Amino acid sequence: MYNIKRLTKSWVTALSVALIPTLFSCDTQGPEYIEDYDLVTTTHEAKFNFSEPTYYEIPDTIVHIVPEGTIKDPITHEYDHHTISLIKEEMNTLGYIEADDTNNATPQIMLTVSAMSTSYVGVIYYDWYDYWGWYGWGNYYPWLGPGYTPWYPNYNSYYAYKIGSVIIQMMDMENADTENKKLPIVWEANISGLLEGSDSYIQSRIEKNIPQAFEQSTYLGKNSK
Amino acid sequence: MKIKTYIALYILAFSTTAIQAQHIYANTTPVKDVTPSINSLFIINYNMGVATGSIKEFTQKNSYRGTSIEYRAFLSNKLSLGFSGDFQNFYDAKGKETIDYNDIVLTGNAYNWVYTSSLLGTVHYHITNPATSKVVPYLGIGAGGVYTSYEKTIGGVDFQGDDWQFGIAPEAGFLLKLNRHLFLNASARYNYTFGNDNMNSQKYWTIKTGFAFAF
Repeated sequence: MYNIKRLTKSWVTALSVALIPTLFSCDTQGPEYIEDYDLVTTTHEAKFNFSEPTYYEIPDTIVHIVPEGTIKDPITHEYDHHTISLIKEEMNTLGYIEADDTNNATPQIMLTVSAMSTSYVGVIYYDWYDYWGWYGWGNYYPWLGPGYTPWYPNYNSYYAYKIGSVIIQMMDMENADTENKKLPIVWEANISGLLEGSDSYIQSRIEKNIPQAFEQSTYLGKNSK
Repeated sequence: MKIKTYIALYILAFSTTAIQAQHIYANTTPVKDVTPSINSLFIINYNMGVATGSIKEFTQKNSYRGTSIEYRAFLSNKLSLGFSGDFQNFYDAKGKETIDYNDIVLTGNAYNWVYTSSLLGTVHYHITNPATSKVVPYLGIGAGGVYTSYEKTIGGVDFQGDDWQFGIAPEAGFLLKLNRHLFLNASARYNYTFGNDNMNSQKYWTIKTGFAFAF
């Protein structure tokens, strides 16, 4: 006659030993920190020759896309100057020249920088581009006026914008669609969630991710083919 | 006299045949087999996965996350039919990665996973009788459905592709008796699936260690 008590004890012990690594196998791991969710996305108009334009313009403000009814903007303007300086640095390194009073040049391309104070998924981006109406598309194109909205001529764009995302858009100012009042976006960078998190994180992530947007866009630059 | 002799010989011959027949009949009467045997085994394993082929290209690391359960019903002292359910998760934190997805270029920290689950019918041949032997080497093969899912997360954006395929899995291992109803199990299994239009052939090894409960 077999000892049932002893049998049960040995089975329970064996099952316990077998289940420990089995439970361990359910741990799937993955991203842990805010920076693990950082994403730099770029798209461009393949037909546009990025080596043609020489002069660019960039407003010195980051426009925040704030949802209607928001009392307190969750995104800070503290990093506007640093972010725009980094973008200018990258553009200058690529051989482009900023149009200003010293060269009195008319820019062929314009860069706008926006930050999302809310999350958008599948957003119709035209809505939030009215925020740029005040700018009138710069000193060089007053005839374009605020009625113009940017659009993506012929390529896919990324439609999910996380809170704190910074979007840089490059527009071809020489080929505005005057009939439909549209400005073709020839390059766009979406740096997802960049302005989210603690201050110490934001600073280092700006310095890492803004250059990344240009680095992965190998077609940009005066010497590009 | 001659007739009497024939009758006597006939009776002798008949009786001898009858005795012989009786003897043969006695020898073919089924004798109850008294060899000890077990009816079935229930096995639970921890699995380690060794990536090869497409899985290795995607994750490049072996898997330490896997488990399986198995049931074997014995048709004889050595031959069993049964089924096994396996789960294996291959994972690799790739670090910074840039990918081009439909002309959208994405850069971020990438994490790749391959999940495999299989449900196979199995047949095993045990080289010694588990009821009487301390060590029981065995060979087996399984066949059935295998689900494979490839997943990538880059900067929080997920990409996924999956499919069911038909697969086979030859296996070799051994049982080590701890007591009459409990064995240690160890085996190596090669998992192979047949490619289709959606997913190519998947190949990986699983090294299993666990406990087998005998009934």
